[in-house]
Amino acid sequence: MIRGIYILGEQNNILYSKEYAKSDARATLIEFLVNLSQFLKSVDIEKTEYMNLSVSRLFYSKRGNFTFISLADKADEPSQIEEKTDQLIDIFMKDYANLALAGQPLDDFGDKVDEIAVTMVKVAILGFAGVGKTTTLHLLRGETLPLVHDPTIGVSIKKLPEEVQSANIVLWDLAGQARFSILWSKMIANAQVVILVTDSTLENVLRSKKLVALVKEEVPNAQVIGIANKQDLPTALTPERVGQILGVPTYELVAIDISYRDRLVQLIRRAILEGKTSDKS
Amino acid sequence: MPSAVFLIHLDENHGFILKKRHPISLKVTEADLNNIYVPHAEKAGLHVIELDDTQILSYSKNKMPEWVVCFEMEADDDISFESSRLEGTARLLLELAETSIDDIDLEEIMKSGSSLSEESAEQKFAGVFLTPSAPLILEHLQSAEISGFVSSAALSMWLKKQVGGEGTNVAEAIRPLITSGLVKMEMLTKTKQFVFLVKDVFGHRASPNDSLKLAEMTRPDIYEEYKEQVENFFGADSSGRGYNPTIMEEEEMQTMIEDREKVAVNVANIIHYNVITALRKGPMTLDEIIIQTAFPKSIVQKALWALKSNSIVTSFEEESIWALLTDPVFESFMPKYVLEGISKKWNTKEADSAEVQMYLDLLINTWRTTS
Repeated sequence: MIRGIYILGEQNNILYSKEYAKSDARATLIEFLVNLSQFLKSVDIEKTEYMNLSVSRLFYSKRGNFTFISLADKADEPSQIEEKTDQLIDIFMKDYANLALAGQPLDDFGDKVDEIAVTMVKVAILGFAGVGKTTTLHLLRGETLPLVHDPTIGVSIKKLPEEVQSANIVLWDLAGQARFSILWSKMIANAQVVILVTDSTLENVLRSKKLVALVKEEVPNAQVIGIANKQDLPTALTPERVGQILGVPTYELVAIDISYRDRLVQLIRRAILEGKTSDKS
Repeated sequence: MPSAVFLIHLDENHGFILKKRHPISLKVTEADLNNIYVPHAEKAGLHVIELDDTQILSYSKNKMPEWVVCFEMEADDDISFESSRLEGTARLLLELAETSIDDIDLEEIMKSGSSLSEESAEQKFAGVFLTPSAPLILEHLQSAEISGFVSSAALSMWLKKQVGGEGTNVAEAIRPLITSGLVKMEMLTKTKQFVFLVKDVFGHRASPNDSLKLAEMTRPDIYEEYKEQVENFFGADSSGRGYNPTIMEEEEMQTMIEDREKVAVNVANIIHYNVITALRKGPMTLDEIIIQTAFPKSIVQKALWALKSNSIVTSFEEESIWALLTDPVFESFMPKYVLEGISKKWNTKEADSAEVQMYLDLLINTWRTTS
């Protein structure tokens, strides 16, 4: 995925930057980019090129007085990132270059960047053991449910078959057993959406409040979707009651019922949109 | 001898990625990756786990929690015998993963048995100068006003004032000083914790005298040129010289501090440090350094170029022979200068007898053990 977009001006100053992943070494990276931009002024490059930078890949290009840089994962296909970087350059040069030269705000350029750069959304599915996280994953993927319950070990990562808001959705189904709790904070890192699954029993919902606190602590910008699963059982609390206890918007689900699939995908779509809106504000 | 070796990286977006593997035909399932990773999430270090009928020896370190190096062992391998050697190899692989993963040739590394030893005292001392807070605390403890000891609470308040941040964590800032053994943190009473400076450190570029002597005996062909280069570097009119205590001048203090940081970065880099250590034995060809360090050629070559650009090594005869231009040294010494300050603090009742007693005991114990 693209982790960051940077546009530098004639004085090698950062005119625009947007990051899609946290970095501990941002200051060092910016210093490097400024030096790179300075260096690029002394060489001729005709198209977008790239270099490896630790576990990432840096794509750079020059157009007029501007230097354009995209930071992406090495796992990404270089030609795709080159193409996206070129698209961004074209849009910037056409509609925003003059504004940038005049020192004016770049208005809705951020939205255009999002449309092009956000190609992957991480959705973490969190909850205690046996609440139906893996069943929810199967539901989202439209898969037949396994007949035997096979507890997840660590994490299971799968893609949603279709794109949502032009992005690939990567689902991280985290094991719910206590022995895997040490992984939760690591595994939800950088998630844009967290689906918090409960089995709608009072005991489980009360315990799950801890998970809400964990999510707020580790990924404060993530959109949290509470799930009141197993609504087909007579003892289930209502989604409203579950939401009151958890303190997050909560929706009913019967994960073994395929008819809930579209509703769940809609919830993810809405969460992604809300995430973008709150990013802007 | 392991039958396979692989490096796992936990990417926060893509999940587990097999960054490197040998042989290339090796296949690892998602369940295997999880089973290998979970013990490392609990505790870094060496772990052995059984996957079906195969034993996997895996290694991770706290500084790089998202990386795990794994060795698939043969049925007749004696893991307890192999583990310390493979731990060294894993340490090397993690170091390379951090700096230049594309240069890793697992087959070559496994064949040559390359490995890295644990951090030396010298490297731990150098590590102090890699963060901004630790040298600041060291300087504070060295000051006449503090004279080597201060309560943790007072130090915390002072540090917050210096860096101007509410989130300043004194325990985190002081860690490199404790790890290197320069500072001890002790509870005086149930509620009173003190920080004591028990060793001071001197980091500088020394003249590579031993290497020069060896060059005179073993490489007479380069000796004169080598001597001239060293003399030029340390000469009074050389602008390129680094932090050399014998020619210290007041106005150059800032340059020297910056240079000390530069030297510290190289000593703390475990690959660079191994190359420096090898060259302390005298000038060598690239092949001789490779034999000494047991590192792959590309890695040694890169380290030499980086060290050359930092004026730590130099080369002769179109880079066919390499030698130390300056010897980066980080050595500890007893902070005798605090004794007068301790006495003053006690006389003026700034410190009570229990604090002074504890500090003197710590100094005596540290230096008695060391000597």
